[in-house]
Amino acid sequence: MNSVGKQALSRLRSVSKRRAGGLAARSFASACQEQPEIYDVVVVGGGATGCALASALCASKTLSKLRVAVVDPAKLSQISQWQPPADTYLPRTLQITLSNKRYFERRGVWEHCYTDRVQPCDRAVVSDALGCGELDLDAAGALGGMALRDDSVAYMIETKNLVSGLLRSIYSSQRPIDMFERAKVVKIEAGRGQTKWPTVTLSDKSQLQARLLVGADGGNSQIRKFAGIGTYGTEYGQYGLVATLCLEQLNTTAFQRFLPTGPIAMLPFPNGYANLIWSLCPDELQMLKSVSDELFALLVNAAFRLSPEEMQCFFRMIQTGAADSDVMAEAAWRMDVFAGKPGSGDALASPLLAPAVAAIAPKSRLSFPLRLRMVDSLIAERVALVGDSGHVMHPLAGQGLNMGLEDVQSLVSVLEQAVQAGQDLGTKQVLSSYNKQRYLRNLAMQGVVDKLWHVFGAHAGPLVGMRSLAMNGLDGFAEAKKMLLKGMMA
Amino acid sequence: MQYISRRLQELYSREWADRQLSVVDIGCGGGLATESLARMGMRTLGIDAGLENIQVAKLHSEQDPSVYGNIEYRQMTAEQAVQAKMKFNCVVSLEVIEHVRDPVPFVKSLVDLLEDNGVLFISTMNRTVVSLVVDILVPEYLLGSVPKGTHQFNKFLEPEELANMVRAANAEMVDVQGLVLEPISNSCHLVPRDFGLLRNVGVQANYIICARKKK
Repeated sequence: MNSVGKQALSRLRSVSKRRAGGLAARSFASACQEQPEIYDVVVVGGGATGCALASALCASKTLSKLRVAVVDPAKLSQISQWQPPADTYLPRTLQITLSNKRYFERRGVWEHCYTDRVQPCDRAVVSDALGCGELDLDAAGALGGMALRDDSVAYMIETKNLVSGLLRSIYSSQRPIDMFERAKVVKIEAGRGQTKWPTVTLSDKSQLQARLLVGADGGNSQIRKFAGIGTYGTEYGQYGLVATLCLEQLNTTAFQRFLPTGPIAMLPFPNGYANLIWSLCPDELQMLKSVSDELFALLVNAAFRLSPEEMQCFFRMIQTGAADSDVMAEAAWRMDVFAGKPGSGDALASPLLAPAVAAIAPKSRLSFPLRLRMVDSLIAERVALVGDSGHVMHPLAGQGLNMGLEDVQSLVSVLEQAVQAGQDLGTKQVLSSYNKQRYLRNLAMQGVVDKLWHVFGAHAGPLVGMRSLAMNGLDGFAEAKKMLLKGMMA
Repeated sequence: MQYISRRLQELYSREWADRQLSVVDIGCGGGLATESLARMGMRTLGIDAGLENIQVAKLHSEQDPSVYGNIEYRQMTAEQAVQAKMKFNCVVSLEVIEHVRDPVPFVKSLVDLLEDNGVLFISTMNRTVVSLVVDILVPEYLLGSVPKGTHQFNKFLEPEELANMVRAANAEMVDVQGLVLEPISNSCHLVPRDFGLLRNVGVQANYIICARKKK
C-alpha cells in the first residue's frame, strides 16, 4: 500500500476513534483543516424532510456503518429542546397522512413529539364560493367503524413539534451522526482529491467530502443548483398567509372554501385552536397583513360565509383607506344578514359551516410565496434530492411534506439494498432506482394539485358549473368517497 | 452480490458481523465485483492472469476509501495461488470457468484455496438452447456488445456437471440459483432453479452455485 493510501487509512481510523456512541456534535473547532472529513452521506438541510432522513438512517441496521452528517443553518440542538407555548399554537403547521404517522411510530419518533398537541382529523368539508358545490368527506361516517379504530385519516401537527421530535429521536439514538448546526453551505466543489467526491465547505470552515450528497434544503436548493439539475414550473402569483385562530368552539374538522382568488382553509387543532392557510394575491395579502387582529378575525369569518362580491367590497374599503372600525361595522352587518337568511344558520345548526373565529393569536400572521416547481431529475452523480428541493407544490392539498417523507423512505430502502450488495451508494446505477420510484409519483401528485388549483381558479363559465356538479356528485356518491378516503390514508 | 452476502451471513454469521472474513476473487478483471466484496467488509484479494486488468483495478480502487483499506490485487492464476499455499474463508469466481481450458482441475484448485468449511461461489453459463441464444447469439452476433468468440458453447457447463466436479473436489453443494441478466439496467436478478414441477427453468441461461468445503 503506498503512502497516500496509508495516510488515508490512518485518518479514517483516527476519525472513527474520536467519535464514541451517542451524539457527536462538533464541539471542537476544525482548525487549519487541509484534508476534508470524509462522509458516506451528507444531508444538507435539517428541516422536517432532512431530519426525517437522518432519523431513518439512524434507525436502519443495514446502514449503521455509514458515516452521516447533517448540515443546517439553524441551532438544531436548541430546536430539539423546544418547549411548546402554553397558550397558543404556532402558525407553521404540517398535515401528515396516517401511513406516515404509523411510520413515525415504528421509527420511535412519534413518542418524542408532543402528541397532545397533535390533532387527528377525520373529516374535511370542501366548498366552492362561486358555484354551489359542497363535499363532505367524513371518514367516520363513510368508512364506519371498520377501518379506523384509533387511527385517523390525517394528523395536524405544528412543524416545530415534528422537527423537535425528530431531532430528539436522532440525539437519543445510539448511532452517531455528526450534526453541523449553525452552518451554511458556502461552497461546493466537484471531483476533488483522490476520491473525486464532491466537497462541501461550510461557513464554520469545515470541509466535508461526501460519497452521497443529499439535498434536503428546500425549494431554492443549493445542492440542486450545484448538480446542474434543471427545474421548470410556475409562480402562481400568489402568497400563502398563515395564522393561528382561536375558535368559538371545539372543532376537529378541516374546512376549505375555494374563493375566486384562491382557497381559504382552516385546519383543526386541539382545544379550540385552528390553523389558517389563505392563498391570496399580493394586494390582498398586503391589506390583510396590515389590518388589526379583530378585523382580520372578522374577515376570516366572512370569507367562509359571504359571497365573493362582498369580500371584494371589504377589500376595496380597506384599499381606499377606510378605518378599521368602519370595515368591521360593514362586515358585522353583512354577517348578521347572512345569519338571518333561511338555510344558513350558525355553525351549530349547520355542521357544514366553518366554526366562527373568536380571535387571532397575536403576531401569528406569516406569509410565503406559492409556486409550482418540478425538476428534470431527482438525482445526479453523487447527488439525490428529497422533499421540496425535488418538488414544490401548492399547499391546498397538504401533500408537500407527505411526498417528502415518501422520498425519504424510498431513498433509505434503495441505500439499504445497495449496501447489502456492496455497491457504491453515490453511483447513478444505485440512485436511478430512487429516481424511478419517486419521480413519476411526485409529478403525478403535483399535477393533481395543480389541476385542482386551476379548476378552482376559474371565475365564471361552464367550469364553475361543472366543478359544482362534480363536487355535489361526489358528495352523494358514498362508494367514491370511501375510495378517496382510503386512498388518502394510504 | 446480494446473494453472496446473504449466504455468507447465514453460513458465517459471527465472523460476518465482526468483518473477519477473507475472500479471493479469481479472475477479477477490472475489479467491479471485487470492490463490492471489499465494501461488504471482507479482506479481499483480487487475482487475474492479465497485468493490465490488475493495474486498472488497482487504480480504480484508490478512489473509494471504504474499498482501499480492504483490498489487494495481484497478477496470478488460481494454480499459482494454490502453490503459494494461500487460504481464504471464501472463494468467488464469476464468469471465469467457461473460459478455462480444463474445468475439473480448476474447480479442485478453487476448493484447495478454501479453509475448512470455506464457502465457494461459482457463476457461469448453462449449456442449453436458451443460453446459446442469450449468451452468445444476441450479445456477440446481434448486438455486437461482446466480441465474437468470447464464449464457446462447448465450454458451457450444466449445473449438474459443475456440481459433480465440486463434489469430486471434496466439497458439498449448498444450492444453485438461476441468474437473469438485464443488459439495459446492467443488473441481474436471482431466480429459483425450479418453478414448481418445471425443473431447471431458472438456470437455463446463467446460474450461480454455492458450495462448502468439507472438513
